[in-house]
Amino acid sequence: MKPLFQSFVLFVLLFSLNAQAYNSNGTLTVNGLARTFVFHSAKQMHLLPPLTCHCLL
Amino acid sequence: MMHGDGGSGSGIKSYCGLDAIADANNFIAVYPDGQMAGSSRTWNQYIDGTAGRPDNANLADDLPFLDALIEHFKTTYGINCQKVYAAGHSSGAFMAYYAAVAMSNKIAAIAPYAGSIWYDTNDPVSNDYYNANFDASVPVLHIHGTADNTVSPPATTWS
Repeated sequence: MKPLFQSFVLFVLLFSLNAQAYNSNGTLTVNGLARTFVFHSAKQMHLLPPLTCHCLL
Repeated sequence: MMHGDGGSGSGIKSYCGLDAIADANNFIAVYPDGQMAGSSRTWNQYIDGTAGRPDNANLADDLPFLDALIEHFKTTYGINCQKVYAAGHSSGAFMAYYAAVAMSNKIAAIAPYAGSIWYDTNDPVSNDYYNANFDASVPVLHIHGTADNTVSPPATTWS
């Protein structure tokens, strides 16, 4: 039951994150210059690293 | 989505409406900042694959930045690299055209708004670079007001 409960909690957590838009920003150093950007994603779940997504499957 | 001269990534994010479209269509909208030129931001959109621009020799080449952005979102967020698109307003539109010419293997299509292609057919470096890298297979959605007196609409019949 415990692993099942943990999976349920994880699902609820990801589902709630998935329902929210996500805004963030970042900096990349390119040829010695600090280059900045902002970005927006409809679903934070899409921003999880691929490995994490694979683990969910 | 690349801003125009004097703008910023956060600025164009706030008014262009792309966030809502990203929400409805499940994609990530990225708004890079151009590089500082004096007190405002711009892009090195001159098509010659090098640093410097005819009107500003100090600008770095912006292609490596766009390339690094794509790689960043690929490695960090696992984006589909077959569906990377570039859009921009004014100077950002020029930069979108430049990306289409120079990065046609990474840019699926472009949507420039109130901009054009900036290269000089009389400049051997620019002309050679353009001819060597141009790939007509990149689809373009060009949006331009006919009364635009800042950037004239291309004198071309689009087909």
